[in-house]
Amino acid sequence: MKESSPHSTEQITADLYPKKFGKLGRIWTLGLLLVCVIGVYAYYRQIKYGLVVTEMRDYVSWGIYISNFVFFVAISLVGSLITAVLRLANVKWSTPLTRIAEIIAVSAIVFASIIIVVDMGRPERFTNLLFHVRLQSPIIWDVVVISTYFVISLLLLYLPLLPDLKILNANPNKNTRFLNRIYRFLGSFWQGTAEQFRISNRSILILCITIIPVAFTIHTVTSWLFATTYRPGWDSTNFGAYFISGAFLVGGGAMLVAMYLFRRHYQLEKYITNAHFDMMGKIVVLLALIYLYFNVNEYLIPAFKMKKPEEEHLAALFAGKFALLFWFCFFVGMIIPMIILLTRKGRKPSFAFIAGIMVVVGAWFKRYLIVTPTLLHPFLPMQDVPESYKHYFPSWEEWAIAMGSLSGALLIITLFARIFPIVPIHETVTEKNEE
Amino acid sequence: MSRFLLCFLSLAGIPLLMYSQGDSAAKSARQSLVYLQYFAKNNQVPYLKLQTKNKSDKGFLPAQKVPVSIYLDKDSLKETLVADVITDTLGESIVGLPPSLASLWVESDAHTFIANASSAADFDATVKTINVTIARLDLDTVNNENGRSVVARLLKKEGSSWIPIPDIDLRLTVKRFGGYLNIGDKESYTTDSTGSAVGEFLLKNLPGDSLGNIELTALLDDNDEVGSLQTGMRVPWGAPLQFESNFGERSLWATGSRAPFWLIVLATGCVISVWSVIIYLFTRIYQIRKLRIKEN
Repeated sequence: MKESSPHSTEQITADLYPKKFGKLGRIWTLGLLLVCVIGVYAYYRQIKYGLVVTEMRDYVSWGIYISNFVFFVAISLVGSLITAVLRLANVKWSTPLTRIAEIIAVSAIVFASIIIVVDMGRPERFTNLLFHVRLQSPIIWDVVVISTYFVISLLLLYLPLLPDLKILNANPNKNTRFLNRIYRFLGSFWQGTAEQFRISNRSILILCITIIPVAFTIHTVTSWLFATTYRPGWDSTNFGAYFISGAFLVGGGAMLVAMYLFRRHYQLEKYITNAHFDMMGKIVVLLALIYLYFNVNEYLIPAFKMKKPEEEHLAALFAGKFALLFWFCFFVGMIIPMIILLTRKGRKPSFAFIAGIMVVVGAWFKRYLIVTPTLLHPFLPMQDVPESYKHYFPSWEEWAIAMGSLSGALLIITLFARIFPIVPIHETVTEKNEE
Repeated sequence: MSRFLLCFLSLAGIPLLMYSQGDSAAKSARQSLVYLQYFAKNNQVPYLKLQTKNKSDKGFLPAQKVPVSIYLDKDSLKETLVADVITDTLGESIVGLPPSLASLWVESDAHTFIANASSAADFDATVKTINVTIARLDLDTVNNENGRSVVARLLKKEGSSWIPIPDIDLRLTVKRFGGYLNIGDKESYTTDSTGSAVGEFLLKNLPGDSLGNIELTALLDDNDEVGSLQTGMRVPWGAPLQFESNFGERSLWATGSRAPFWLIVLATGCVISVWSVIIYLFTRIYQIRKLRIKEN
């Protein structure tokens, strides 16, 4: 399909201006809200009865909450990949994708913070982390880095939004009274003067430079939560790089999914073109190859040595209880999407969307595989413990909270796209004029 | 109808029959055993270690909660009863010789202990007897120009006197970390005609307590005639242990207030540098806001 490019500023503004939810949009939003409410109820039960409502016990003390946390942190790195890395590399084609990437990053990091508190049996003691700081603990590093990354991502979302806020403020009749109030509060001071642009562009550049090391730190520190613990499967010096490569891959996959859905729902074919899918698909292939390389390192070398204490863990992954999930993550999460996206036809939107879904789903289960099997295979044998300690399958409360958090992240993205232009209007117009 | 009922009862009886046969088969395959060992530490009041086990296809398994009566010399007499015990979950029990039997104990040079194990849920009644000659193991040290030596002397009671026991292998050790470290190269030392076994103390700079005391121990394990004997003595032959606590030092494993300086500097430096940038960016946003005001 040949895609026509937009001609005038008015047309671009009209195309990219935030639109009211249609019937499908309302159903989607209500569905997400419903899942969130169920999640909140499940959390109410957890608060009321304690962590006993989960299936986590003495051995598996980190279940899908922590898998979900790692997943959220991973997916949040997409902001730094698309916005910062590609912007600094002077890649122009990524312009329509930057805001999608940033809102994914912000929503993911919000729910990463929430889910880690959910995992706490006594959430009211969270402040103890701050009042009794123990710098030696990776947990406090995580708290610091996540809050820092959240603020930087928020700034990186906000500053490029300012010129668009001027456009939104210039059309009050198109907006509801509530939205007008939001737009005025956020951007009424922006007049688009040369000096304002100069300061804003310089600030964005500083943010792009700052966010990359912070993004690397956030996921490295998350990996250290595991790697600093001497356990089968976690005892690796490679974990930081392994986690970051995986994070970029899932971020790339999420971008493909988000690009497809926004393009289709908001009829953005002129702005998010086949060429974008083609380029993004190539990036995902590269990221999948890098992640595959780290995976081979993580599993082949321990399997080659097959140290006795790790044997049970590796056997459970390769051919035992977790084999189905392990190979699912390997093939569905990496190999098959890579094969799909290697071909030109596979990088067409619909195929790329399917590949993106595979990457994201594979990545979610991959985090589960990183967390749980290790905890079920301690170095010392499990003796004289109740049967429930030896297995782990999340309770309905855990599933509800995990799904609620995923829905919450999607809800933030959905509401953001309702309130703000999901593709930057001003930048698109500027680039069009430069052509 | 009655024929049907008879048939049903017969069928119901089959599992019962199989169960009872299986149970009796398991019972016949099992061999219940009682182990009785005699111990004397530092030539003090002796004690007995009792173990009840079942020998089956799975090997020797402890039999727990087995009632056992132990007698001295004469079986089943109230006057010679050492103790009525029930073995613990590991099938074991430790029994000391009661004061009431002190006079009977010193009356003769050798004694017999009789352990009568009653039948229990998983145990068949059985009897175990051991004979013990009263003996003592003395320990002494010798310092001369050649170095230090440890002398253990094994004697048995004969009437009112103690006579040496020759040709018995015993160990000369130092108690260390809950185990026993040989004092020299030899694993064991044999008693001579005087009942003495002499071993040269070859250990250098062995950590002792704060005064350098170590505990020498002579061990005789499970001898057929005199049982297990053990005698120890403390000597200042070790190196005084200077314990330096690093509990209060700054380290990665200390409490938060004792974090290493380098970590505090590094972490705080990183946080300050990144948050300085963030604060600077907030001032930039404020600057952008101010520009509107100026232009207005």
